[in-house]
Amino acid sequence: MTLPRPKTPLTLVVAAMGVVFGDIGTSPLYTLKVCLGLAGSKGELADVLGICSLLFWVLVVVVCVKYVTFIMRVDHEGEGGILALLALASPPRPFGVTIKVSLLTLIVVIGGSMMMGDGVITPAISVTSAVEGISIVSSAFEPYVVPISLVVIIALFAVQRSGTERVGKMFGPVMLVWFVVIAVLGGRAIAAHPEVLHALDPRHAVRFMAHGGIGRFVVLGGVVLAVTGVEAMYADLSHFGRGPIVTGWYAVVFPALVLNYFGQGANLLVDRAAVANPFYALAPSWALIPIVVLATAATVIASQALISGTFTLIEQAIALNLAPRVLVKHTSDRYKGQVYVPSVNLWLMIGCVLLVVIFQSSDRLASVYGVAIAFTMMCTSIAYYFVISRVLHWNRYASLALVAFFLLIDGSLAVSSLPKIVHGGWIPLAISATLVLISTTWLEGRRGLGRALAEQQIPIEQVLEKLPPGMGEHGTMVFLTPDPRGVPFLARHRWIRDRAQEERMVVLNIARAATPYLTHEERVTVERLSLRLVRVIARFGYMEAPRIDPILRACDAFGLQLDRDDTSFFYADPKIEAAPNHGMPGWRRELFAMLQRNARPLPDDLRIKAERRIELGVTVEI
Amino acid sequence: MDASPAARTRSTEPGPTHETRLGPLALAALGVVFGDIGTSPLYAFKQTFTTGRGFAPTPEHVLGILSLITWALILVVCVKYATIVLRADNEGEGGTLALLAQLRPTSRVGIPAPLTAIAFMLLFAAGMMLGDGVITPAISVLSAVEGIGVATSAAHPFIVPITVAVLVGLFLVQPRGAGRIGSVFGPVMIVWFAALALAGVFAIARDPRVLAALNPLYALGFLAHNKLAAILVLGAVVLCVTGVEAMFADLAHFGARAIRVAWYCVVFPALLLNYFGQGALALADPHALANPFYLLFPAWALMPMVALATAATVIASQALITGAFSLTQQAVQLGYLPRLKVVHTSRSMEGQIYMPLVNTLLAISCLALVLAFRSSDRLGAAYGLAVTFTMLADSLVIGFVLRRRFHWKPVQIVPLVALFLIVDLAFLAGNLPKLLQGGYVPVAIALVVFTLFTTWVAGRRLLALALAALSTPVAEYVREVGDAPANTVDATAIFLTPHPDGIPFVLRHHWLKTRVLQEEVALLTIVNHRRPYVDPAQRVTVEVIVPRLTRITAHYGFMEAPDVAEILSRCRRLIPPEIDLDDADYFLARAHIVPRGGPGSFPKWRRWLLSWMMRNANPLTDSLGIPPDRIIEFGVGLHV
Repeated sequence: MTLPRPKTPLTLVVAAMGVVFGDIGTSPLYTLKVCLGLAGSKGELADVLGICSLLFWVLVVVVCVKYVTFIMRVDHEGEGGILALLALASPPRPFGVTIKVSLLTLIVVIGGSMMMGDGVITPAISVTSAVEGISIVSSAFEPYVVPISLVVIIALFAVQRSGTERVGKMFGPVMLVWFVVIAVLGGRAIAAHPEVLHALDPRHAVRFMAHGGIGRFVVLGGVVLAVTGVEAMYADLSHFGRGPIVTGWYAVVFPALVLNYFGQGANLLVDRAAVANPFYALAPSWALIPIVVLATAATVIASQALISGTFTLIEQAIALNLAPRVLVKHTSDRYKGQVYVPSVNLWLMIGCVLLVVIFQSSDRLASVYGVAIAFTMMCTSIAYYFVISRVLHWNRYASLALVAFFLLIDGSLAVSSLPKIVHGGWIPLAISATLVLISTTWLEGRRGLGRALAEQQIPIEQVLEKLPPGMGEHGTMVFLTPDPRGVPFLARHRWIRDRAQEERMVVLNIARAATPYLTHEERVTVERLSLRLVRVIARFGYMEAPRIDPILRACDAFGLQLDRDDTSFFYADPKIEAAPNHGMPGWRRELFAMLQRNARPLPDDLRIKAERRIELGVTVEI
Repeated sequence: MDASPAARTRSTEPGPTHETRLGPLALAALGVVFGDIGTSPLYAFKQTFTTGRGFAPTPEHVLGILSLITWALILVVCVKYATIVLRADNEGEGGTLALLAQLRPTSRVGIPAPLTAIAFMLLFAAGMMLGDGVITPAISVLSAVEGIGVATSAAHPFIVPITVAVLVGLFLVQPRGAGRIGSVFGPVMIVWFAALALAGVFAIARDPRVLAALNPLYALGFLAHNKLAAILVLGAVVLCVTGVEAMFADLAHFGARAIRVAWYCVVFPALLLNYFGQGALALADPHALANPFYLLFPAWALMPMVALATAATVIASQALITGAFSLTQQAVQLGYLPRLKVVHTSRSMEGQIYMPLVNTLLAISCLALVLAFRSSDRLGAAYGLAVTFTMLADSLVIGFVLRRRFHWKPVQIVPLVALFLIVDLAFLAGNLPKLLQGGYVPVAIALVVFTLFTTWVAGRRLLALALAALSTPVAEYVREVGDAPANTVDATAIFLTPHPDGIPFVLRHHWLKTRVLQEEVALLTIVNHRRPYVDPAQRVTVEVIVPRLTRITAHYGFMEAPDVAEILSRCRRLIPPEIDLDDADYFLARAHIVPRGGPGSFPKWRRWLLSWMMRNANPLTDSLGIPPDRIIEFGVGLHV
């Protein structure tokens, strides 16, 4: 678990507010407005009741039923998120989790990529919609909305490097205040016009959808904005565990959201002008500025949660070999899960800034937002099916029926979002498609590299037969290899064969365990295959950063001294060439070569001293 | 491989073999050298009247501007480039970077010299050339296609899509070696120049008054009368001479004579006639300024002319793309850029190269420009600034070359350079306002390229110094090995080292770590010379340092590609027979950048940029042709 458990469950619930519910909790800023716009409604009674009813029931079905009741019960050693589902559904292999190229992998990769595609928009839309509050105060402020949003966004990304641990403590209480305030604002309006509560009746939703014909369907594309944060809720499962999340959802977030959406609806019934910005119209004028400030804080917190979530997703993807290795920094000594990924941070920032500059307003951003996340929900449902049927062995028909129900909801939301594609919705889809391409190319390319290395290795048994006796006097050769059943390079590199006559050999495999964290005792297994040949399997959880020092220390405990100047670490310097037949198309090979060159080399990640490294040329045909 | 043709064939298209008859050579030069300058009439004259506040086409203005154009062509092209700059070749090779290679101070072999002020200037100019190079295909093709808008205004919405299609097609055929159809380029351009001249003659015949503009007094009068506004017009006049740099850059392919012949016999007259024709038309009909080039032609000739113009601009763009490839290639060979992937598209002509990365970057930026600016008028506002920088840099450097190479006296050089500088500075002043209108695009590109150049040179220098500091004097190493005799294995090891003295770090590191030495050890150094070619007979030198330790030094010019097979085949007669070069392992140092800190060290972003460039460089072992399973790279941390 990432965060040390606070003493009382209550503080844990508050802490979860700041991380888990940021995205879903700031949706009231723009969701109802966008829905009304899509319905072409001026705030008529039937429309307001219909949309409120839709919002309520989508929250109930998607969040309460699908995620909180079902999907969140499935975790992989405490970790949640769509990649955890993949790890869970993949059968364990001798050396860590190996992800195969399969339908499930593809679906999960698409889901994860879609989540990131939409993730770029979250900070942009949340911050812009919050800052837009100032133009309600006075239209003189309107030209400043974009600049202020940009400053907030850039500042947010700039502070990532120093970690957000210290301010993080404030997040929970601030979000708690936020939820209380939006509940009070909504409650006041409902008290004045309680007839809006009729919207609890699902028939209003049905009537609203049935009445307007096929054109009404697109309103669902606005409704989906209310639940965009739900995947993030699931991805953040590991930080707090399911208990505090469920408590927080039912005790605070769900009631606050419903009160606020209904309050916005009630207010619209009397004040048609509120349609311009139904959220801020709830606030009495004296409270407007404080609420803008609070909303900005809440959206910053929501964006922060999204950014950390993206870093975590990337780290998981790297560990599962679904993304090229990049530099990952752990910003906190106490909280293992606090990571910072500089390159991803930079790309996210560039993306967010461009989006704000191009789209200029939260309305226009909303027309882009939510397209991809609906697909992520579908992918999660499918991956969930694999888990419950393969791993949990649920009744086949029951699971099929359940997942079909989920897919019906997700599918409607996804299909209704499709018209957004022409208005810019292609942007998150294009980002997602690029990520899918990178991920699958990387996975396939790395398997090709694995094959090439396998061809150059000689199985341990054969090596043992031919090995001359003795201890090996000069130096130690440590081979970094993905497959510890053999000694790599021996087959092709004569120079290695020559050295093998003189030196001690260690086959070192860095395995990524299927668990997030490991204890010191579990770190290495040392097998002495002969006096000269040792096999070391070093394990790291998929939330841990592999380093050479803990491996060396752990080996020392087994009497295997590797931290010496005459020890060299050998690894491959791949040269990628076209396979004679059935190879990748040229441009994908180029893409893989480019990823391979620019991925962080394992020895860099391990922090092996430059002078102890030796690279051997290896031809890889893919 | 027989070396003497091998060394020379790389530039034999159509070859520095100046024995080739002058006529065909000049014809070929038309298709390669003069495409850019030859397509300027499409947009340059029009641009002069729309710049700034704009000028009414009164006789006074038309004659003034025509006179400016004429004298710009005479001073810049005839005097400066055709007469002076074409002499400043580096053993036949022309171009800014070849000039720079000549002027760089000598340095220790293997360690790049620090950059001088001239080098900074010329590297920035080279960056500017690439920056303008991105605009040239965009503006020329766009202005050619705009001709269909003259034919019928219904065609307006199709101008940008057609332009994009032409450009995409152009960039897509590059991998197949577009230069292969280069033999038709010259004839097409002859037709083009003939059409220019003919159209001009007819228009002039109707109103021969324009010929008075040959008198430079009109130009001076225009400048004196309109002052600041006239300076702004110079920003458009410079568009007439964009592309003049190509005369110098392509020098090696055609030789100065063919270039001069093509210029004076064909291009210069055709351009003058056409510009004067456009002027005559503007005098007769002020509305013709909407598109004075296409309105020179009768309606029936319009569509054929659009087709011809498109062909001419495609040829111009092709020349420019090829030019960008060779400029980049030169920059690589001279050590200003990391090695990039080069594809030789023609087996018979070695000079035909294709660089995937450069092509992709050019294509993306070119299309982005067309989509962002959407008309040649607006692109014209971004165009021309960079070329003035390049011309200014050339003017300054030519002074140094005249002094050093030709030993001119300062009294001769100063007035000449001053004249060039006055012209260049006037153009620069006219172009500065473009900076805000879109001129920042080529400047930004130039800054990026310049940053890459300088970071690479400075970074390589720091790395080379750090690596050289780790090498051991030969005597010390020999003593060490003698004191503690190593085990030997029956093999040959070749250690690649950039420094032809001392014992490289990798060899000593290898020996200290393993206490094993190969039966035969050879040190291989490749020396890159600042000349374009090295006499193949002097390709390698071999020195037996002590028994079992041999030093091989291979010499290459900056237009030649080192190749380990060639080196080894030349060595065979010179080295002890025990050395089995065909079955050797190759050892080299793999630099890992370590932050140094303290004065003179790189800031973090530059360290990052340097390591990014190192990662993405085509590996030396690749271009040398060493088989991968013979390569062993020893890591070494170098402080930068």
